[in-house]
Amino acid sequence: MAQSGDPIIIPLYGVAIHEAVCSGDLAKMRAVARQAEEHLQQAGNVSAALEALKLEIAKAERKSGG
Amino acid sequence: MAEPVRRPARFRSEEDFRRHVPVHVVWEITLACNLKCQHCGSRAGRPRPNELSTEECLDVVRQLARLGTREISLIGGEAYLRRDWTEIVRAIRGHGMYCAMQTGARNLTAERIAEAVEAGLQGIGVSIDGLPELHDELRGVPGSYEMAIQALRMARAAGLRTSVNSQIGARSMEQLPAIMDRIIEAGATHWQLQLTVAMGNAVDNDALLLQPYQLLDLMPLLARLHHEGSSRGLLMVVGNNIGYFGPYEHLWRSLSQDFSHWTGCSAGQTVIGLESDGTVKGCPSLATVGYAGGNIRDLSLEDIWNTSEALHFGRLRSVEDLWGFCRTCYYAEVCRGGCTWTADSLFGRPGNNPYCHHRTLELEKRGLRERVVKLREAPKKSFATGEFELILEAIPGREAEAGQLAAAARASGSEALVHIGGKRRPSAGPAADEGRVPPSLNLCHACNRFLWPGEQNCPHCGADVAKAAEAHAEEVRHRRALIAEVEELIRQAKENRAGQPEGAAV
Repeated sequence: MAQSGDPIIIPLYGVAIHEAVCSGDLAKMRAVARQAEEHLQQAGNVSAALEALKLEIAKAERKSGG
Repeated sequence: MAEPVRRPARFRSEEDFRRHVPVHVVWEITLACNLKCQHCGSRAGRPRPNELSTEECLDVVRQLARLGTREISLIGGEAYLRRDWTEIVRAIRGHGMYCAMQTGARNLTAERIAEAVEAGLQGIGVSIDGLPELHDELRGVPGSYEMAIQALRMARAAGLRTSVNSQIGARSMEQLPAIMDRIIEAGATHWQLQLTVAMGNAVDNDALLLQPYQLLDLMPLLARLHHEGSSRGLLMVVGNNIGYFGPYEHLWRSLSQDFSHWTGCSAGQTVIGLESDGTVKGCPSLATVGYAGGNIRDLSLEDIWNTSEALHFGRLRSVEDLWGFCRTCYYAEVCRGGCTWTADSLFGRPGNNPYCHHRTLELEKRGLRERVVKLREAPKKSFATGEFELILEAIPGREAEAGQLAAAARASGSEALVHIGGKRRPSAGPAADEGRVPPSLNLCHACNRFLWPGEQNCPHCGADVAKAAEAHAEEVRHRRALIAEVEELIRQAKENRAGQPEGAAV
C-alpha cells in the first residue's frame, strides 16, 4: 500500500519550489513516449526518404529505358 | 525503474519537525511597492516607517543560518525596491542557503536581474493573475502583464530558475488554461497556485473571492492542467490553501512514487515569515495582529522562535481547537482545519475552512453548498482582516433534498450536517521538547482518496483496500515492464543507427 512521502510545505506568498521535479511512473512513461516518438520521427524521415529514393529510381529506370 | 528525485532544500524530514527547524523563510524586506494590487493582503505601497537597516538584515541572515534555515524567499512589497537587496542576497548565498525572489516585475530590468544573478540569486517567481486585461486591472497598472512576461524571459535568459505564482479568484479561474499556455511559452518551469484570501485589499474587493462551492469546478480543472502542464514541462504546485483530501490530493503534493498529502498548517513549525520592520510570524501571510511572535529588535530570532507562544499555535493545535465541519471530519487529526490564514482571515479564528475539496464534495452529495458573505470591512492596515459569514444553503435545484437533511440534522441536534465517520489515529503526543511529526495516511487505489492506516474497506468508495492495493501493484508492474520494453527497443534502434557507417547506403 502506498505510504505518504516527504511533506512539502508551500507558504502562500513565496516563491514556488524551484528544485522540485516531477518523477514517478507517469513522468517516466511520458519521457519514454517522447523518446519513442522522436525515434519514430527519425524512422519516418527514413521512410519518406526511401519513398523519394524509389521515385528517383523509377524515374532513372524510365530515362535509361530500363 | 523511475528516476530518483532530487531532494529540494524545502522538503521536510521527520528530524526537521522534531527539532523545529525553520527550513524555509519568507522575508518581506520592504513594504514599498510599485503596483496597486486589488487583492494585496499586506496593502503594500509605501515602505514601513521603521524598516530594518542593512546591518540588521545581515544579522537576520546570520541568525537564520544558525537556526538551520535552508531556503529564503525574498518578497515585498517589491523586494528589489530596497537599494541594498542584492547585498542581502549575497549574504544569504554566502551562508549556502537557496535564495529566490517573488516579484510583480514592474520595471524589473535586465540590469537589475544581472546584478541579482551576480549576487547569487538562484530563482525568480513572477506573479501573473490573468490574461493581459484582467492582470493589468487586478495589479492596478496598465502594461504590468507585459512587463511580468518580459521579466520571465529575461530571467530565464540570465540563467535563473523561473516560476509563476497565480492567485485564483472568481474572475481568473476560467483564464487558468490560457495563463498556463502563455507562461509555458515564456519559459516558466513551475507554477504555484493559491486561492485569493480575504485579507487587506481583497476584503475591500470581495467580489474577487472564489466561493467555496466553486471548488467543485476548480479542482477537476486544476487536475487536468496539472497533467497537461506535466507533459509540457511545467510542474504545477498548489499552495497551502488548496486541497484537501479530495480525489486529486495525491496529485498536488506527490512528486515521486510516494503519495504525499496535506499534513496540516506548518506555521511556526518549519516556516518563518518576517516583516520588514523585524516582526516575526509563523507564516508570511498571517495577520500581524494575533500572530506576531515578537520583533528581532527586542529579542534574538532564536529566542522568539523557541519561546513565542504566538508562533507556536501550529505546534500545539489539536482536534479540540477545530470547529464546524472540520471538527468532526474524518481527516481532522491530520488536516487540522487546513490553512490557518484562509480560515482566520474569514472568521477571525482558525480551525474551520470551507475552502476544502473533501468538504465541498461531502456537502454536494447531500444537495448542499457553502458561500461566504462579507459582514465587516478590514481596517486600512497591512495584513488586516474583516469578517465574513458562512452560509450553508441548498444547491439551486436541489432544495427539497437539502431541506430534508437539514430537518433531520436539527432533529438529531447534530452540529455538523455531514461527515464521514471513521477511525482516527490515537493521539500519541510527542515528547515535551520534540515537535510533532505529521501522521501519514494511505491511499485507496480504487478511488484515490486517502485513508487512515488500518482501514479494511475504504470509507469513501467501499472498496476492499488490500485488494485495490494488490490490483494497483499489478498495474505498476505491468507499466514498468512496458517502460523497460520500449526503452530497450529505443536503445537497440539507436545502436543500429550508430553501427551504420555514414554514407554506407549510397
